[in-house]
Amino acid sequence: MNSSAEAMDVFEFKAEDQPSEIEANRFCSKYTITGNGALGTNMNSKETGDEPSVDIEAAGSDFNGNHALSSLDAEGCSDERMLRLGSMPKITSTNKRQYPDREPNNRIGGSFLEGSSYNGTAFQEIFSGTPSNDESVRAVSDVDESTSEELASYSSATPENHDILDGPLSNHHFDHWGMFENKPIVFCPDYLYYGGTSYAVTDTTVTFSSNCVEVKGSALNENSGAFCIRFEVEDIFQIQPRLSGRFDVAVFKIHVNKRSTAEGENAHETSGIEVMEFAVNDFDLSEKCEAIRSLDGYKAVWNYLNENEERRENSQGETSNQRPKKYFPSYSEPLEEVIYPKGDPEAICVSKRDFDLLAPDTFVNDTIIDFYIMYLKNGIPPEKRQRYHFFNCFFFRKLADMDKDPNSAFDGHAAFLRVRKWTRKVDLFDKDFVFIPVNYNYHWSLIVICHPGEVANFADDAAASSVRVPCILHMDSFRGSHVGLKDLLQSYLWEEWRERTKETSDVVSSKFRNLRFLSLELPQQQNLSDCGLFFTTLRGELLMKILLVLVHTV
Amino acid sequence: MSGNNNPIEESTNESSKLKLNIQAQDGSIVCYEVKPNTLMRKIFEAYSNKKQMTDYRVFRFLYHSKRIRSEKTVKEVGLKNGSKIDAMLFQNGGGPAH
Repeated sequence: MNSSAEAMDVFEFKAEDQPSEIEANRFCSKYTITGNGALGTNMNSKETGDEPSVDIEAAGSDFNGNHALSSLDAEGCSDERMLRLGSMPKITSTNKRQYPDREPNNRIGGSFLEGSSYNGTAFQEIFSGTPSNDESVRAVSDVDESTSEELASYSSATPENHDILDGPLSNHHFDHWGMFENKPIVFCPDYLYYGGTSYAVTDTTVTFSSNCVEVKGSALNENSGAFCIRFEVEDIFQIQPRLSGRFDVAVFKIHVNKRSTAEGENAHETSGIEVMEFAVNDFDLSEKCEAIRSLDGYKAVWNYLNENEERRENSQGETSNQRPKKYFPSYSEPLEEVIYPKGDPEAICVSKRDFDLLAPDTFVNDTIIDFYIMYLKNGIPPEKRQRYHFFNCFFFRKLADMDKDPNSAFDGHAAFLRVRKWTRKVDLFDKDFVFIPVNYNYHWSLIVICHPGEVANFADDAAASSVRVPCILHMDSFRGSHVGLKDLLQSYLWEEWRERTKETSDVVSSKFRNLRFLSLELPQQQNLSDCGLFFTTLRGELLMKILLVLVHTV
Repeated sequence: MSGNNNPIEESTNESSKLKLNIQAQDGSIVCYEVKPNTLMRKIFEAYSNKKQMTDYRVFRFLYHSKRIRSEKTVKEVGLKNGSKIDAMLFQNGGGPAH
């Protein structure tokens, strides 16, 4: 219920100013020194930047069932919240940054922030005494007209919630000024999934203490008011946090052996395993996680969920058919085909079914690879583009004609004759780098021929001094799967050279046949389906490096 | 002259027709007589039917190492009498199959 949620904020002011009026004054003076305006604006930017990402994160996470619905709810609520109050959890975390030793005083921070649009005297007012509290809250909220009527009900709702909140807050207030060690760790989740239902919550706390995990607060959903859930440590058999480093966001999944003694209105009287999930956004996330792990009894059940396990879990579970959604945005217009680059006679046409191959655990086809080649090629400045040559996926297939006669597939001269026309308009020996995608045995790898034009004039002892060392690089994410390329490419280059220069000297011939062939040490794929993606990344990386070198040398 | 008619069976204007050779990966060649404004898709479909493929998109048709797009006409692609088109089977890959 909205009213009860808000009521807690009202209550918080009371909770704070009663025990520590002096404290509050001290705070106030500090705040006025640090500058409220700066803090306030900082807050706002944080909020608009981070809030949506939390929701996205939540939507993408592995909540199932009515999750889609719940994330919608959460979104709606947070927007509302933003309008009305400014986001509590975020405010508190930043406040913590400034006063790391005052971690438990989240709430004070919250109230401060709310008042941060006011000047120093306003702060004084808030903290100076009880009677002014309602006034100040009202003043803050009145900025937004739509909430004023809700406010009217806050004061009446306050008494009911008082007991619930009084506990944790007053306890926490003085209990842990210092580090987290052996002290309860408090999270303020953005939303909660428990007992088959998702709740959007604003001012709920999840407290990890040495003997239990306690969830207290109220949900914003219809028909669900204040609640309090408590799990004994011995009942918890797994806690799975999924951390997202980028946004200080985590989703915690707690598996509990259900007991019938569970209290609270929302507890379902079913025996077996219960799952509770909640999502938090917290700057001290990793520190807090470590702190929880250091508490008795938590370490054994603490289980970071890594990507592989998640994968396995998903592929077994009923959620597997939803998986592509995690990777792709859904398009309102059906995607038919993409022609890239538009207007180019060599444009690649990527159709819907090619696009589908980008789903996880799917092989990518030649169209995807060719598209990517085209994409990279277009990323190179035009004046530098002629330094490179990109063959398409079928060059190698033509060159090593394995369909006709496997024994002669790697015969250099025959190979050359098959692709003779491919290079009639290009002089490979004029290029700095020649890229050849290789596909056979349902596997992609990449050949890069570096400085082929230098082969004939290159002396081995110059290798150390020269920057243009001719060589063939083979990049394979599954080493050993594409063998026999060395001789083929060396003899192909020789044939190509002979065609161009009419040179037949044995010295040059041997230079080509002894051209360095390097299989690069690369990150290896861990499954049987990702080589196409390795392929594309590799090429991208290499190109980046080449371009970087060029930028520095030119 | 309409380009919508089947170019293989219809032969209204002999002089403007040109011969195209489509070479499969095994080297076998199929020859088609087409009009300049025939859509390439028509030819692809005819070829795929002959190769007992239900969908022409299993092939990549290359002319001078460039992919031919199905919505182009013979003239747009720049095909001439006697031009050779490579019909390559699509390729995919993820992990090596041994």
